Amino acid sequence: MPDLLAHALLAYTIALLASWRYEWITRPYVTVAMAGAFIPDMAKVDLVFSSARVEQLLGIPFSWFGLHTTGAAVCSVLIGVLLVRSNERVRVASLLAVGAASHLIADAFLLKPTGQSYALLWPLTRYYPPTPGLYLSTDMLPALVLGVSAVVVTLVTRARHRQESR
Amino acid sequence: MPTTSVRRLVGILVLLGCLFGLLVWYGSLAPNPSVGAYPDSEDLGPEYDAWVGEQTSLTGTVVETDPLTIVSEYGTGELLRLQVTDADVDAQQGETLALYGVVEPDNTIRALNAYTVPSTNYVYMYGVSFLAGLWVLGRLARDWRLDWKTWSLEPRESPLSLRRGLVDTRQSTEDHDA
Repeated sequence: MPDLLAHALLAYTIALLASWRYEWITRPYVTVAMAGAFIPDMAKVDLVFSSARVEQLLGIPFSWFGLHTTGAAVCSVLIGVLLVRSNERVRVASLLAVGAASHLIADAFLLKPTGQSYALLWPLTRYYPPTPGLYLSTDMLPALVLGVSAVVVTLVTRARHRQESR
Repeated sequence: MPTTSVRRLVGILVLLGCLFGLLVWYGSLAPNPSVGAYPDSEDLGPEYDAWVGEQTSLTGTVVETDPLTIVSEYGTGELLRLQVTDADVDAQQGETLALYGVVEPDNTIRALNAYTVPSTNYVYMYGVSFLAGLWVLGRLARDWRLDWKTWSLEPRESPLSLRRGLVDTRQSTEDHDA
């Protein structure tokens, strides 16, 4: 989707909703989902150190945008998994993956002049699926809508915990 | 199976190698309009005339409105100046034009579809994205800690609190309060 705030709010909301069903999704794991939502946007390194400059430096083709695909997201999730203890791995893997997937899918709905989104499933396929063009990456509405959803879900989650502890 | 620090490190290095390989592979892909990968300013910039007659999808900054002219960056800071015809937009100077069109001779693109984005929207996007980065980094620092013995990250039993003077209070009362 648009900005990172909207992506973080989306992952937060999804993780909290999942915590209603899976009790082990406590605060640290909600954070993991939010971190997962940042994975595809590591491609934004391009703004600081452009792909063209890396190409120039190494003398081989290179594109940071490759990070914004399923293949690179899987690789990155696995790196995250290796950073935690073995008893945490399945939980961390699943929530990082949920966060990263929510980002890639939300971005597939972005408006593009061609009407086609981007190669989100690469390297499985390079196909750019058609996009409904719901929003621009610079729109404020998605973050607003997701911000309201996040607040509502937070309040409901708190009420549920109060009820449980009673 | 317990993982030693060395094995973990080797695993991470192998995965970083894979990641690097993917970025090189992605960078080596040639435009392919049949899947939706149209040439952009990176392709048009170095040899514009080779692309005449093809369809393109690129963005650029509006530098002139009559005739509509955009400047698009490619390579390491080189600029491609393009005139845009047939675009059904009310473009203002400084806006970003997202463009899908046909490459015509003399640095002219005949638009098939185009829209503009004011530059202030980009300021908003980068601003909130930066804040979101701080938010998530803050949460990671509060909810996870580095175990120096095993060099691994561990969830804290209760989030680190600034009010309590950055101490890990080891209460699990707030555990559920995400």
